[in-house]
Amino acid sequence: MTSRASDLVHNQGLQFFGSVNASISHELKNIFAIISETAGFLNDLTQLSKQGQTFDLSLLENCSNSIAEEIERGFDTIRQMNQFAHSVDDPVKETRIHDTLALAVKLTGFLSFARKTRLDPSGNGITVVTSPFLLQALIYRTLSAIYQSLDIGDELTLTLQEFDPSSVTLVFSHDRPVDPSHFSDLRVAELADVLKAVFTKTDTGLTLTLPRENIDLKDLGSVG
Amino acid sequence: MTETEKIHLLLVDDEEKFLNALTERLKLKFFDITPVTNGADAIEVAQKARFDVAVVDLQMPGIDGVQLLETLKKSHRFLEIIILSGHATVDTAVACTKLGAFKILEKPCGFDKLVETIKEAYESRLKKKFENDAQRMKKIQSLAFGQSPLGILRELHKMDDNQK
Repeated sequence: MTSRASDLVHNQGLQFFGSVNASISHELKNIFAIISETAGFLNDLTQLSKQGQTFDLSLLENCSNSIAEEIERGFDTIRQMNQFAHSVDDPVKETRIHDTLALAVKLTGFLSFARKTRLDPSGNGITVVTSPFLLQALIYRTLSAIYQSLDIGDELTLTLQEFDPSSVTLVFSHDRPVDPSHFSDLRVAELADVLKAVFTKTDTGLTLTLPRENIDLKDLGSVG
Repeated sequence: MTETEKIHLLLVDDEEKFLNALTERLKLKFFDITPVTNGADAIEVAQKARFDVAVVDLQMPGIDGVQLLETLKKSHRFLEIIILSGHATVDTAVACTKLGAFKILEKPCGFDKLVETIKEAYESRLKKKFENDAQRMKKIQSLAFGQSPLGILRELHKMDDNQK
């Protein structure tokens, strides 16, 4: 790993890992809170029934459906947590950008200020050789910054485009240019610099262009 | 418990399923519940109806729990507000306490504990309101001496600050 990239993983990486894990645990707590209250309500209904009181039986069905849905939401969250945990396995790897984007959308979706985001399915097979963990961090922080510049109800669309053979462009589009005041985080600039990623402000949002292969990161380790 | 004796509770949480389950359970405990899923709606309903206690989630899109606490406390000085939090940091807890939160409970806090805390908050509200009413009554009694009827009315108007 180049010393700068290595420093970045150590300095920013742990902090990023911690903040993502905090948001995941918050999501899991919400899920448990729903299951706990719904199970409690089932118990309340059972007690009412024992006392000979009648109630709408559809309430029981609603409760069991709600618990089943929350358990599925919990499994989904744990799958994302696992996927995120494995993003540090390989320092440098041929990475499907679509997978990184999909995970970043799900992980940032746990933030209270997240906005509705649609990931365009095109470009599913596009890969880049980079640090998957640093790329995840860059996209996560970029999405977080964009969400904060949007209003409630705004929607964001993410598209992957290939304008030339040596690079890949991620298009973050909504209905207006991004507010630069939300991009004052030096960590984003530092990540973009190491990953040789270039931000461009557009009339409808922002683009992020990445090299197909970041040669500077080649010494980092395995390229799987 | 009659309708008028019920504790009027404002419940604010963006997790709709949590809100619905909690609302149903609290109804069985004879609370009068108004559930809303965001801070803006909470402010709007609080302007139209009187609430004794509010239970507010800390992390919500738009107006968050801290902002809602601050807004509600400014316009409803006797409303007691319980903050529900997934992960309250020490800084957030200090901020909520300074803004007048009655208690901060960690989610999931246990239903019995929540009910107990709501009752304590209601008692606290009553106590503050009675003390305030007693002070106002004293003032009103003192006004009755040596004032013209118009003067009494003016003083009463000053005292009537529409406290909720």
